[in-house]
Amino acid sequence: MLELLISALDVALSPTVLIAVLLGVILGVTVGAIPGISGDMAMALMLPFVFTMDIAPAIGMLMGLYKGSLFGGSISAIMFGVPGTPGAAATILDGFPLKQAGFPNRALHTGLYSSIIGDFTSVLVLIFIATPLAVLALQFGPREFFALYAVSIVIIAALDKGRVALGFSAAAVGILLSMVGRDPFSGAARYAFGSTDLAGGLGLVPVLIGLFAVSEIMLQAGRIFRERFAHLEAGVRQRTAGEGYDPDADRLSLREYATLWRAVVTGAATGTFVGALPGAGATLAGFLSYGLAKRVSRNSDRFGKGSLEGVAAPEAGNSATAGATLIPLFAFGVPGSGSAALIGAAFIIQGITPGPMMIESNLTIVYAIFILLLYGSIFTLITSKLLLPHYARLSMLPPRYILPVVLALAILGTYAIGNSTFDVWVLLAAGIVGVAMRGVGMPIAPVALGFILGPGLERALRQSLILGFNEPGYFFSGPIALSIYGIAATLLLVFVLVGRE
Amino acid sequence: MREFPAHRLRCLRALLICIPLCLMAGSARADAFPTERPIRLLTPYGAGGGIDIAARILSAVAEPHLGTRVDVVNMPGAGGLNAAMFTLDAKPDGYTLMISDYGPLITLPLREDTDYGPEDWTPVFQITEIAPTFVVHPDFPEPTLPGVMAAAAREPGRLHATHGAFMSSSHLPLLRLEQISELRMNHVPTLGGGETLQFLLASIVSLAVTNSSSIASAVEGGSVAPVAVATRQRIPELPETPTLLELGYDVVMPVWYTIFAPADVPEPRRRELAARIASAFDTERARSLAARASITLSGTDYDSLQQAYADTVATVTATISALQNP
Repeated sequence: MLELLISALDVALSPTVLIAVLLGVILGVTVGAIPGISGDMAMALMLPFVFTMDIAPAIGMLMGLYKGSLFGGSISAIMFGVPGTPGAAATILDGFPLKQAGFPNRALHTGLYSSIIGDFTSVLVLIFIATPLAVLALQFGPREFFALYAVSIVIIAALDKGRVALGFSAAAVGILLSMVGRDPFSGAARYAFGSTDLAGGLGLVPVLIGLFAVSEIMLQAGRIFRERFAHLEAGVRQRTAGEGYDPDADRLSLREYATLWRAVVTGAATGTFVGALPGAGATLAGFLSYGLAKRVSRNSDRFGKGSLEGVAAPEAGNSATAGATLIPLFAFGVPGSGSAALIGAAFIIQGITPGPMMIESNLTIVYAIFILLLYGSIFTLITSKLLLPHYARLSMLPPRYILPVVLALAILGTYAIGNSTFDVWVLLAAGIVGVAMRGVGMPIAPVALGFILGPGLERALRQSLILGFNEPGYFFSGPIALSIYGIAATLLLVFVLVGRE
Repeated sequence: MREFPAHRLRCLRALLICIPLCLMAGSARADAFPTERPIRLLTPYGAGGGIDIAARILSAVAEPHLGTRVDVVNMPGAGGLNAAMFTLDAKPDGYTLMISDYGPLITLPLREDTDYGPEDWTPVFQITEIAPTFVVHPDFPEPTLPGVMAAAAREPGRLHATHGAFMSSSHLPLLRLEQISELRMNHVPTLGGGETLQFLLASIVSLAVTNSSSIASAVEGGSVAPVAVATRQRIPELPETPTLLELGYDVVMPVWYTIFAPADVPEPRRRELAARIASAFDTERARSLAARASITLSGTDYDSLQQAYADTVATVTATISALQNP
């Protein structure tokens, strides 16, 4: 045992592996922060390079990249209200208001610490209790997933008191948008109106960035022009957001961070569990953590207006998928997410097939991976600590400098992914839809959630219908599905009763 | 290690391709083929999949044997249509090739209104052949194909069978088996290999059809039991597993990763490419890269490859037209 640990440490702490993990983390934080390039895409691009590397540095670099991108996504979410990765979409809800109130540094650090704690927790779970958790996760079939997706959408859509109907309508719009394109089960075009572009479906990146960021940019640009106009008329100089930023008031003490423990624990636990489910992923983890943290918070009325807890929960949640997503891969050889599939591909390229046999035949490598997963989190912490104060200052530049750059990056990033001008039109159209929704007071998060979860929800629903021969009773026939509905009903009941007081 | 964001990498690649293209324009001579400029090898899917890995192996070993570089260009989207159209629209000089499974070349044009058909392609070199494998849970009462067929016959349309995407190369062998045996099962589409395996491990379904490579570890560990393969011969990885042909069902629908040229590329050029690519793969380095990626290299010669392609076109056409006109 000791001998095994020493040889694993020998592999994991060799200079090439250390450098590979560090490079992966730096690259991951950077691509995560760039809207439009997700960790998955960067990992896919890296695979050909990984092909020529040894197994430990190869997996180390990919895992560093994945971990880094999970946190990096929150940087642009907080700074510009643009989710750098889909997983960070929930972080916008409170991160961006905090930045607007002049506290980007506090928000970024809350996000960072929570990411690290979430990530670390899930790696510990992967190391120590992967097998029992994997056995439970494996039992999540279409029926159970339908329950989980449906409950998640209900929890998020009903986030805002008094705007429940608007929230549900928004989620429905999101699901409808996700259905544009090919029917996943028959290949027939839906809502395409004869257009081959629409038949290809709406891209996740243009829709998300359009809804959140482009609509924000459009509104801000409108405001700046109005101010300009007023300034010319009245001769009064308007203060820009850049003036009056006080970096000292924007510090976050550890003592203060410690008061957020409820949100962090909720996020880390939710994220680890959701991450272990095959097919769920960081976005669901972020949103579900946010929704649950709001339920357990003592200050739930602060959520959505710039609550540090509202940043801590989704960030702990999405990063907690980092270790957990490997659980089904290591335990059964089932890649539970796009990222896990890429890690699995990297293993296969290296001649090791992920699965139960891997743990028996390549124990040194498995232990070495556990060790590098642990110190990878520390690398993320150190790298980001050095970068964040600069990011925070950057984000407080006057909007008239930042907005054109963000918009240009959003358009460029969207175009680069698919070489498609159609995606750019989708981006701009989503921006206009976002402006209209803000105009009528419709929350944007449920649209994003509905759009992201829509395909999975639809697949789970239709697979369940096939498996249950169209009998509605099938949905309520399993113990796990029934427990999910039970927990959700209890939560809603408690929420309604507490809300009445 | 060099890493670039997607758009940079693409710009760089475009530049690398464009500069020599401009320099060489007009000076092409047949006897110099294929050494005048780099060959573009398009893949219909994203980076990291089996086809991409196969293409990268060729790219790694090609230059000394082809006398030029092979640049892999991933062009995902529209089920492979984008890459196929790009390849067919390029000048038919043998410098633009596509590596693909049969989905984008045969299934897609048979099901949709595309500008090309299966006859617009000629296979040049087959890198590997993969067996669609029928697997059951080891607890299945009689874990053999006859056992599965008997269970399906007892309750027509009620036995759950999962198969990756609708009309994928895992689904078509299942459909073909049903057409031949006149038995019906309940088909559950999934996202592909990972989800298929999960459904089987969790006993959500009784039968799964998937690629032999995606279940290798599970078979080794005894958590799934293979009952048949849809290839002409048994495969080396599963020597105990019978073919459907042996069991009396004429379902031979192997998945291959093959390099294709548009049919209007002159035949001497196609043969030249085939010979040079074959010699590139007949090297120690190619074999070790392939072994690391669990790819079994095929040894099919040019003429039998044409026959194999014609056979697949015929089988897929028959399966799909039986569905459309039952």
